[in-house]
Amino acid sequence: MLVNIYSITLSLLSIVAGFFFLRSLIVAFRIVRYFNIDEDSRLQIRLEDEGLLSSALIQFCCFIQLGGTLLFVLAADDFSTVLAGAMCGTGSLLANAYGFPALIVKLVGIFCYGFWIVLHRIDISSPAFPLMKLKHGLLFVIFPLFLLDTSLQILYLANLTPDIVTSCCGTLFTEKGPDGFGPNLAFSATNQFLLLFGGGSLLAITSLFLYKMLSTGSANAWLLRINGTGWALYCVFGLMAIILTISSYVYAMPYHNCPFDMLKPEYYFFGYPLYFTFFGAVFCGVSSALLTWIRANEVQSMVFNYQRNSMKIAFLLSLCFMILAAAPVFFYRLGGTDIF
Amino acid sequence: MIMIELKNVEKQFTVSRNEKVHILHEISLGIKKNQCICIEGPSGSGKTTLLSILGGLYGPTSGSASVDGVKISRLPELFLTRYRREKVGFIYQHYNLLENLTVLQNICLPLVPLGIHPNEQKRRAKRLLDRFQLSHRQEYQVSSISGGEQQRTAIARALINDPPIVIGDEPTAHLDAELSHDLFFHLSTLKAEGKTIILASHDPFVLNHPLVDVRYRMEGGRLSQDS
Amino acid sequence: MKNAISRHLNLLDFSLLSLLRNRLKNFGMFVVFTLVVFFLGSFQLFTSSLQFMSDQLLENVPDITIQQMSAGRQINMNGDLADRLSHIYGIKSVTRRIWGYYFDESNGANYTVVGVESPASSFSHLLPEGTDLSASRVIMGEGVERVRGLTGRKAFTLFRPDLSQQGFEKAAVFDPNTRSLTSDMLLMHMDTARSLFGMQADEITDLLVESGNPAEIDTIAKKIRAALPGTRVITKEQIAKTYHGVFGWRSGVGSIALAGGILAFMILAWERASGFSREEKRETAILRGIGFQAADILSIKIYETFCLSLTAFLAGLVLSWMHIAFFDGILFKPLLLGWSVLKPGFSIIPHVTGNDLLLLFCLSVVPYWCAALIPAWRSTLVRADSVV
Ligand SMILES: Nc1ncnc2c1ncn2[C@@H]1O[C@H](COP(=O)(O)OP(=O)(O)OP(=O)(O)O)[C@@H](O)[C@H]1O
Ligand SMILES: [Mg+2]
Repeated sequence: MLVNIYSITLSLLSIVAGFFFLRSLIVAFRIVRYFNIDEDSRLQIRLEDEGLLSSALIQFCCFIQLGGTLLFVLAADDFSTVLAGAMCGTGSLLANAYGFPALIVKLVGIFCYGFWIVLHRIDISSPAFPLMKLKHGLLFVIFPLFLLDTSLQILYLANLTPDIVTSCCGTLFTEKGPDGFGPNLAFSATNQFLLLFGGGSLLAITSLFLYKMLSTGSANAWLLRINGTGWALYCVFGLMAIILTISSYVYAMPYHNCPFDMLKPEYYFFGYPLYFTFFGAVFCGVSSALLTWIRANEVQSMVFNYQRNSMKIAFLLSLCFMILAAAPVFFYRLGGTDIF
Repeated sequence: MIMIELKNVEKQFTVSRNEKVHILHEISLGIKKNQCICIEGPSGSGKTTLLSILGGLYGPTSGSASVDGVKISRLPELFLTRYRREKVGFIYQHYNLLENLTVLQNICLPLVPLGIHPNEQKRRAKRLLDRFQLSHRQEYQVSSISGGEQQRTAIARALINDPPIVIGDEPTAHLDAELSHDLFFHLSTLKAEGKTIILASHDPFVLNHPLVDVRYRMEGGRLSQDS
Repeated sequence: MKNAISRHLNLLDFSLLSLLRNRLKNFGMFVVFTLVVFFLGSFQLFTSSLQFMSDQLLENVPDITIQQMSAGRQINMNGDLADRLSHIYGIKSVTRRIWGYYFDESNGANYTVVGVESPASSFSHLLPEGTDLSASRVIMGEGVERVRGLTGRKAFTLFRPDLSQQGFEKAAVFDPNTRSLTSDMLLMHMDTARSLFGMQADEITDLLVESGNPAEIDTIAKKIRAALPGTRVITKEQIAKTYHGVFGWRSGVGSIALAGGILAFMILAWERASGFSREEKRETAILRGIGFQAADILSIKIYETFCLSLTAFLAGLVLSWMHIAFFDGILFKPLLLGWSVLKPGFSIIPHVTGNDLLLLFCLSVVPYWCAALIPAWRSTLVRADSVV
């Protein structure tokens, strides 16, 4: 166990978030069981109020998890000074089997909380609260994810000992891994550029197209769903491309591929806008696809508005993202050297 | 055209676990837009309770209440609040002012959640302060002004967000004859502006005022129209 | 969107107003919170500054230091011993050094005297370009310069063991930024140092070995022990361990930080218990009646919490910085007894990183927010009709 101020803070944040989550689960249980908008009992009025509590708590949880994930990455970076062989955050996360899974689960978790908040916003736009039971039922699905997140984090911290020798991003991402993860032929830098910018432009254009369609009134649910699937895939491959290719341009070092170093002041916090635009666009794309399954009449117009706005935002963010991603490549090429 | 409509409204309060009091019985009432009505009745007969239902402070136990076609009788609190802040100016019987704020701050309060800029808030408040002769008291704490001044502050606060419905629960209780005249002068301008006015009062001055279109009498929780 | 922003600005206004209205209660809260941040912050700053200083010190420690021992105590050694190491593979360089302390009776100060063969050796990065150390010229730390009152003068004298006087000339002063390392130091040529300490012509106090490859240090140390029996061979890592031994209580950060977090929670429990009077309840009901949403009331409460905790956080931070920078962390000095062995009479240079701030924030402000949330929500549940 690596006892230091980071691991304590991370655990503290998890405890707090867990407490809030449990509190809102109690509310959720009562709502799923007793909520009935047509009834006029004391319990019903109380449940309507408590429904707002659970949303406040989940929003706060989302906020904590966001901060917690950032802190997790920064902590990994800090641990790299203690762990032999680790030169950056990647190395520390690789020090045992739980580091990267924890990070991935955290990211998925944030996505879920975000989507939950969207559902909540849509729900309370109608006096009938048509999604009340759905969204609170969903909490029972998200909770295991939260538990998984917390346990992975605890396992990661608990199994972190300073004498473990770990590897670093250079060895992870540049040598061909057993699962083919790494720049083997099919995954050459050119292909990645194609995926990142080609796929990105394609998605941006379809999103813009969908926005136009939604603005004029007609929207095909299947188109939105296909678009959403595209965004979900783009999330995986885009992330790979950022790590494998774009990052080395950011650092101007062919074998430095750390996804986290670019969050540091040495690189002018370049990672923050890059990841923000990337994940933001993905979130807009995927969430508006998921909303096509919401069928309640009372909130259709709200769902529709959300989809229209998020298609616009997805388009704009992905544009910004591609400009940001292209900038380091562009400047590096202008500098005269070429890493291909 | 009926703007506010009550149908068979009943109201019960739960006093303790197995004790309920039945306050309003089968109240049906229609109020036209731009009408001024007045409800009289003995103390404890349920006037304030009825006004509270009309003002969206709580819903009836059964029956329906609708305003402009929207059923407010079964609206979740979230939407009831929206109704209160956009449609209603409520002059409470006990004023319900925040004692440790100044007169000006109290009057501006309803504009805070509407997101109106403080300068605009002041501008609107100034007009009302002049109208109700409170300008010289605007920086006073509410706890240090007279009962009549508090009542006028409460009236100004109810009017500041320019609501289409004005509800006054005994609005002249602490006003002298001259100020009551002034109040009715203001109410008549409001009526001329097209607002709907609902009053509850024992004051003969109010009951017999020509501004009042319809008089109702509340007794033991039942409503009847006065001739 | 624009409306939402202006609404929240209004709510923020209102919450500032209500903070001022309940001045007394909020001030008590502010003081307690500031104290919590002050303790946590001082502690974090203190350890972080020490860590920084020790890192700086370690940077100047050679890979291997060799000292002659006799009867379990360190004695002077003959400089020729260096030649016996020449055959060991992996050694990049061997340097002779004299390292001792001079007690200045005239003002009770202790100076660290370092004699080197040429200034280019282990101190090169601390020195101005092309410093000449011939004859009696010395480079001194700013502490020595101050204590001896040498700001305007150049020449000064020190006593040899036989009480004869030796004259010196100030050649330069170390960069003040290296103060933790150089403040009490007198750097001079080896011959000058020998003359000051009355040592024999060939004598030195220790040998410094640099290796070409950090991974080989332990092997080299072993070989040196075999080649020079009766000496003490200290590796850089061993020195680092000594320093970190001083920081051993650093893992105690855990308990103290946790205690701080719990304290923050306790403050809240206190606030929660004392909070929500009839007066507050009436106020909330009135606001609800006027048209404040439950979420608006919650925002007001949260803004109050934010303003209070953030100002208290800043105040605590500034206080703890002053505690470290101007008072050398006197409250934590007793924890540091071991340090004086390594470096007598030191003063702390505050060193803050963004991460320290983030951590402090997470340990003090965030728990407070979290604990404030549920009571704040509870207060929004007051219904508008409770004051009709
Ligand atoms: N929340 C409540 N719980 C229980 N009883 C209530 C509640 N509110 C009002 N009542 C009761 O309902 C009755 C009617 O009250 P209401 O305030 O409507 O009377 P009113 O006609 O306005 O009287 P007044 O002229 O004195 O103001 C009273 O007997 C009162 O005790
Ligand atoms: Mg009454």
